[in-house]
Amino acid sequence: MSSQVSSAPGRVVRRLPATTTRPEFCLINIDDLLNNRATSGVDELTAGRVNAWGNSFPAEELPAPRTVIEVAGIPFVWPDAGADGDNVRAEGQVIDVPPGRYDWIYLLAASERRSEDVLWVHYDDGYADPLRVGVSDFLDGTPAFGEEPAFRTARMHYPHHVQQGLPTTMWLSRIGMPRRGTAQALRLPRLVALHVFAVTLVTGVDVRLADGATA
Amino acid sequence: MITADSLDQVRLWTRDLGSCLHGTMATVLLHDGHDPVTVLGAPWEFRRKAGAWTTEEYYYHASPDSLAKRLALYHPFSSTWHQSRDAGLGELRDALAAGVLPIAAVDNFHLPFRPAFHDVHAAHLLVVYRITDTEVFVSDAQPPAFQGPIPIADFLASWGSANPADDGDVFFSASPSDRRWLHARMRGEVPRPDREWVAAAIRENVARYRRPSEGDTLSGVEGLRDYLDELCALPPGSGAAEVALSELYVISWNIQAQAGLHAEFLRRQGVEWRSPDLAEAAARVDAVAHGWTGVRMTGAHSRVWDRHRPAELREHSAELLRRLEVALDQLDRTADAVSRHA
Repeated sequence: MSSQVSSAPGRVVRRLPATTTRPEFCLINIDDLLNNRATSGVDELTAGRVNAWGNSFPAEELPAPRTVIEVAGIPFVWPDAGADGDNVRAEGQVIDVPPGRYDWIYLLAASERRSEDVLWVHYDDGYADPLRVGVSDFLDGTPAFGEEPAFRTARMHYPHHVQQGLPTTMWLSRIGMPRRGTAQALRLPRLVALHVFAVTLVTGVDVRLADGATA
Repeated sequence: MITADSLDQVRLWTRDLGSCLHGTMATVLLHDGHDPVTVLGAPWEFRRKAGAWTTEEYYYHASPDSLAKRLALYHPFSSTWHQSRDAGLGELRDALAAGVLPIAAVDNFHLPFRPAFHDVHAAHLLVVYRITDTEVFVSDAQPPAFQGPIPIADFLASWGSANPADDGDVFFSASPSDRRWLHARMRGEVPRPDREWVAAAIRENVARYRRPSEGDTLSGVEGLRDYLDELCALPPGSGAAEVALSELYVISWNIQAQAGLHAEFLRRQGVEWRSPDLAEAAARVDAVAHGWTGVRMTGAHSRVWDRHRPAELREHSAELLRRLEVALDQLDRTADAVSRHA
């Protein structure tokens, strides 16, 4: 069962309610923030901007726009990729989220070389927590921050050709939220190397039970 | 003579932050029985000399030392550049016959296994490990990674390429291969990486970072600060900024690679000796390596895509310096902790 709701400024999210044994998932729609092309079809290779070389992920090996997917048990909504963007290149964007208590931020993300920076979480009482986010290189495939690979493609797109046998990796990254407070916004770093494709917030069963949930 | 047995020992080695420079050196080291993480990962430094850089993936400011010596400051590892004067492969054949794995300067444009094949000119290094009458066997660990034969004609075209300026690669074109090859070799007794040796290496790295620059080479924390201040002061989009940002991308590739490798060296020793101090120091050094990503990529996207963000470049520069100071303080304590348990 899922429901669509909106956070305060109108951001659409999809909720997958918890049970007493399953955490709650809040799938954040970031379509309004898409600002970069990191994927391309074979007929638009020059559109790629995942790095300084104009490379890109092969779109045909990734999910279709607006589909709900599951990676290692975490559901995400894939962005509504189009000509103007298919990911959020991190430029300090604020992502409003439905006010609530969350334990984990899960990202589908990629990086040009390794990215290590600060993602801020803003709470309703004025506190803001700087949380470390680490995303490994999309080209090498080595998880420098202990992430799981979300997608590993068989090829990489170059501006003038498709390179077979050169995999790319999109990572499943997660960030713990230790504060027991009501989060209302996330703020991405200002780091051109970092690309975010999807965001899901998770509230653990233990937190819900502590809050009095019975179902 | 390189035998079939020794050919089995030609191994691909690469790291995500590395370039063909560390990769080819590592392949040579492994072939000769040495551990590349110890040899290339023990030193850690920043050095830059204005105007000395070349548009090559393997550029590293080594002068007055040889390239291998500078990369392996605590080992008797050194290298010599040669420029082949014959039109064929005689010098490379002689090197192989003498048990040497030559590292050849090449242009990716002519290499059938490189993504840039017949597309983009770019200066690169690879290891040559066998030559027959028709083929040259090469080892290139950089993605997509290739080890095997290519036609002699392709190799000669790449090795002798003028590597002309190419808009497809503004960083690594415009540098002739010139039939150059590098002979890198360990030429003395290799130190045992025990606790005293590791502590001494850490202390020397920290001391070098804290020494002021000397002469016309910027070095250490002070030199890095001066360099980044100079870089950030350039008018965005200007011709001077274009040149400086090209230099930034080139010189910081192997500086970043060395930081990542130094962290790996510390982490591995930490696992071996069950030392939380080394593991924590490794994390701090890794953070510096990752700090370079912000500086390098902000600069690269300005250079290539006209995405000029001077404020971001300043922020990443300041953050890199902060992380470096934190790492050096941690390494100070770590060296003492490692010594105490010796």
